[in-house]
Amino acid sequence: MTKHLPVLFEKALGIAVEKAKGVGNVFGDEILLVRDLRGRIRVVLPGRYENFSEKQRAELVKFSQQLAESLGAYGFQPDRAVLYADDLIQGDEILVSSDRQLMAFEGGLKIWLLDRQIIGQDWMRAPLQQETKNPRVTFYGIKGGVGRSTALVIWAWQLARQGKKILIMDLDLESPGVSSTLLPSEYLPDYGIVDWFVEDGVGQAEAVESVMISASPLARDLPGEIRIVPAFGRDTGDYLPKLARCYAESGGAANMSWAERLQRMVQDMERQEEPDVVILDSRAGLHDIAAVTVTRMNADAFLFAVDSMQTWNAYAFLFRHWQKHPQVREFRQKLQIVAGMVPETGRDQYLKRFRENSWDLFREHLYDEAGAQTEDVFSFDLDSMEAPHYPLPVYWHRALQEFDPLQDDSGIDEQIMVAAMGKFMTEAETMVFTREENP
Amino acid sequence: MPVDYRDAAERHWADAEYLLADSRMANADHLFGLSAECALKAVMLALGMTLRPDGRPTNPQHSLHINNLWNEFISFANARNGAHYALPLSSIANPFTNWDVSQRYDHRTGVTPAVAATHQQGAQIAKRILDNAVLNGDIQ
Repeated sequence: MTKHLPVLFEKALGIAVEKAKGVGNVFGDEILLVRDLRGRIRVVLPGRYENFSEKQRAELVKFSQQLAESLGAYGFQPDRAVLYADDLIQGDEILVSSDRQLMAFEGGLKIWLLDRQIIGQDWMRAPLQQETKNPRVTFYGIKGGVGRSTALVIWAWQLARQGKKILIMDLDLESPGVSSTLLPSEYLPDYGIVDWFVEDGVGQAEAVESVMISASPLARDLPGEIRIVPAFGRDTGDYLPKLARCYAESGGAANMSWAERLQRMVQDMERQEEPDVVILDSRAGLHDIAAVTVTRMNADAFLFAVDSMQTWNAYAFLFRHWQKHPQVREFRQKLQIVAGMVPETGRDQYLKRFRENSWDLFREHLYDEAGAQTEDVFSFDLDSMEAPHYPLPVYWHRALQEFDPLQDDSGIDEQIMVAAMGKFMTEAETMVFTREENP
Repeated sequence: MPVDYRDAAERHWADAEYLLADSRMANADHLFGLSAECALKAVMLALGMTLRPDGRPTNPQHSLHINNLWNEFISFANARNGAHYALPLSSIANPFTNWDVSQRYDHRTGVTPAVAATHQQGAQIAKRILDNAVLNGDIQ
């Protein structure tokens, strides 16, 4: 026997799809592949084994054998390679689950994938129904250190100067940052977001929900208000054991996705505060929990980036995944790229290159094919200023590097702020506040 | 025959449903309890429970029937990265407190439809946990 190279993760799914195509419509017009937590793949067929005919059973033997042989470590022994929906309590749910992704459709046969992942498939699900009326904005960065939090603080300050009430939620639970810039420890409320999730887990979120918001002293002398829901509060105590329990997919006795729990938390806070705008400070990275704030919270999403291959490659991973998102047509309209920390010298050159790379990214993954003549085609030219790929710039400024407005008595220097973020703020306000009026 | 908790859970479940559909409450009820026990033990095995050569759990603490195993499973799974399997059990009170393996010696009128329905629900929760472990690949 010839020695084969081992099958690696990225090849396994393609192999399984090909084998499934080979089976054709023998078992009906749909085949569901389930990829488990380790990446191993098996098949779930409708009904039960006993219902299949002699001929179908013979095909089953062949099919299971093929899967076992071709998938290597990513397959199962033939007698474990196929599951039957009627043998599973949730079999019927699985067969029609909205978490399925269509992998192939040919000759009347649909091949689906259900990807079992540790923390579910939250970001692939439909946007949640927002019951409150205020606009929401997510600040998202695929990498840290791109000026996301600083931009957030300055924009909030600017909005408070206009008399607006801003509610900021620090969802960067793994490395909480915004709260410490805006809330010195003596201003912290008793509890924070991690406490809400832990208490909600045993069905008593109401025990903390009225004591987890504080006013930032940054807006002390301003007509508006900056209200903060920090990641933790004064009485949170040991943070890590709570953090580890935050992401459970259940609230009280009910099974509930993390995004649904987040939505409940955010809405609780919105009802208490009635803010003009809510800013969600998302965590950086490709993590499910960060992506939820972009795809499911009905928020305008500012995607922070710097012009580096690392950044574009990371966004490409994310966008490639979003292509398969059933609701991509809705949430892609709410995306806006932000060029963070634009260097002081050669700005125009830098932004031109940024724009080109950003355009490539969007064109390749999220824009519709150009040339289509229909009205609602989602596609933009390189220089189209209203396009999501056209960057809102935040200029690098030395004074913002050691930015700590509460330590510095003068607060925020207006000239520096306008120089660094004037354009961003004007555009962001138009985006967020006019869209609200014309939904 | 070697121990196969998963298969045992599945056949006890299927047979219990079959008997229940024919209103044979007492034996249906008995099998719901055994099905739940086997389902949870299958998951415990995947989470690291060991067996002696004769097929019984090494730790006598795990050689329990469902009326006692329900709560034992919660602490076992929580201690072994199986909190997501324990959660559905810890969300409700043990539905099997009034189930006993010795009810096989009892008169059939001892099991009312309401009692059987409670145990059916409990067995369904246990089976769902087993199914999830299979779909997750923790159980082959």
